[in-house]
Amino acid sequence: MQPAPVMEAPSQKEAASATEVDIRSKVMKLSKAEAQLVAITVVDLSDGTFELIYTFFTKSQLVSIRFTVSDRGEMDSISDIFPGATNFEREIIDLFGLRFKGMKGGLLITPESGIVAPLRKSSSPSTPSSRDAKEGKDG
Amino acid sequence: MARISVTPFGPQHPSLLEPIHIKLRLEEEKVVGADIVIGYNHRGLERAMELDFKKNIYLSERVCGICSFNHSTTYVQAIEQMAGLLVPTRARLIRTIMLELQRMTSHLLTLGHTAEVMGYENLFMQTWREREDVMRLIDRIAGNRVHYSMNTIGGIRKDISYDTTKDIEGTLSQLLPKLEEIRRVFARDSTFAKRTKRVGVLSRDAARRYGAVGPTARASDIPYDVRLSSYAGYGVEGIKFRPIHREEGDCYARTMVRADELFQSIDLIGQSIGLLRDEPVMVQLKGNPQGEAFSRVEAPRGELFYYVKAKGEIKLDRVKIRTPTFVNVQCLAEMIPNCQLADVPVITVSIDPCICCTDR
Amino acid sequence: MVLSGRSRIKSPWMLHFDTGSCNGCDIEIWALLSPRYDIERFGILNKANPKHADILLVTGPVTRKVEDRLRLLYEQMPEPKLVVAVGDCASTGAPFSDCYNVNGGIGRVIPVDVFVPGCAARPEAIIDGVVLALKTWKERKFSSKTKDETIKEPREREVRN
Repeated sequence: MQPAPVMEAPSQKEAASATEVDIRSKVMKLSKAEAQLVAITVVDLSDGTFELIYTFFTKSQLVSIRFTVSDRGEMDSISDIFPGATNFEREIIDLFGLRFKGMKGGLLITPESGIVAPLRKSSSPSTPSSRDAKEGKDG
Repeated sequence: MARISVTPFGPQHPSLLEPIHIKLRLEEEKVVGADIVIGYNHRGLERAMELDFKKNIYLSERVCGICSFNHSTTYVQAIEQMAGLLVPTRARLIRTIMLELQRMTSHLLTLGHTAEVMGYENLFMQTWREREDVMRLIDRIAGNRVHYSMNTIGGIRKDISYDTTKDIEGTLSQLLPKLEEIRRVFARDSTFAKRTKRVGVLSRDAARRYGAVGPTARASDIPYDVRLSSYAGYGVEGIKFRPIHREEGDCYARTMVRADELFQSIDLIGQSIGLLRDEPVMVQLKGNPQGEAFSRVEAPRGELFYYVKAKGEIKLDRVKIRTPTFVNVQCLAEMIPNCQLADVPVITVSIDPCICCTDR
Repeated sequence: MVLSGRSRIKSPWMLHFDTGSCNGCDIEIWALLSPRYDIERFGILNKANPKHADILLVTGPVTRKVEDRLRLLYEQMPEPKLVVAVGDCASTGAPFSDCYNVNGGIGRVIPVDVFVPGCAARPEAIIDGVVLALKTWKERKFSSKTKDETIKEPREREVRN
């Protein structure tokens, strides 16, 4: 299988905050070219920044747009161009605690459960065995 | 002005196998809006899969019980890509055989489920009776009906014998006329047609913008099939097939795409068995994987996508699983409004929801 | 044994609920309704209403969002009732027992009568488990239990696989 060719705009890798205008204009261009959104992936780079990978399928190949963001500030949502991005963005809000303009979390994790951004490297969400140990139960 | 009432549907409901909650806003019998609430099945597997890359073969199978072999194939393909392993052709063909057998069990399940939500119990029983023949076959090859545990990094764990291939061919040739009869009922029954034609229509542009995949997209005139990207045995010289697609985009089209794919699967299994040669079925992985990989497989419900990032240790940096129903379930927001209340189970089952895949 | 007792054993209705499993065991439970295994010969029907049900078949390791629903379903079922935990994850939570959103087995939420192990539990084992659970009814002869008693102590009886 071919690895996905990466399409990067110049000077985006070292950005500390999202270059929102760029992502929307790029996505709009892809939408006009009849592309399909495959996934929005977030990788915690362990230094307070997160890498976002938007993967599209267009003209029989996978194309990725990558950039790095910090967890300050809100990112632009693309769910008006691609309504299919709604679930991805809400999932990222739940699991990583990043923010998208106009999107609310609560897709997978309820606020009452007390679990916050479980997929961040810095968080250590409680598991049944750790909850047992805390309550002094056995197994 | 008619009043709007809100009716909850799920998470415990006889027509639903899995917990999902749909809040339907009704104006008398017409649905004017639907809010879909998921998360009841969220176990947190992406976090658990960061612990040990070898144990993930076992864990990735258990993301979903209906497409378990697809999950484990996608995962091992990602690791093999990172490590640059060349999987032997025999292993790739056996993976194709098991993937297509799983596709058959899944489509027969959905066809039976579609008949059942319409009240057509007889057809549900007949479809699931034929499904049991395929399950018996899988039980013989893999040792288990669900969760085959046949994949390993670098190939497959168990080879299949000549007798097993004869059993596969014999069972499928006996099954063929029965499946043709079932397909004829779905294609020609007038009640079925009245309940599915022009119901739950998804237009081509809406399917593309929602990112629909699998039979849901192929029934809306998007011939998107990941098998064309030649993963596993689909790229072996001598395997020929074309994706099945229809234009109407309604529940009838989605059901018929699945029914036709059953015969495509039988054909692909026959082609794969014919190309099997005597050779080993595994290459050894040396060391730990490093780098990142995107891996895609055509699961019964659509494109299954894994992103794996590794740093040369037992632990993985990130495993991202994007399942087909994660995107397809959003299409319900387009299909359910303006239908009748009695059509809601039919439309929901027609996209073949697998909520355990969505929530992981 | 009174007439209602005899009919309860001869035609127990089941309620199936999935608390977050991978659906392998749920498909095997639905396969029980198919002609090959045919659980209807035991008089068992799959009914949706908890107030009509005698046996609760539960799969899955009980995610946090679904825990209250499970308890509510259990409390709505009238006595006497049986709970059968189907599959490895319903019994002990394995292999999800260290995932952050699960409780780890339904025995932590409601009392269980029979555990049916397996991943996925085979239909023959599930039928075995249900028949064993019905046998406990025959032996108990429907001694009355208050609601408080049943919820506090999990009763556990293992089934051979």
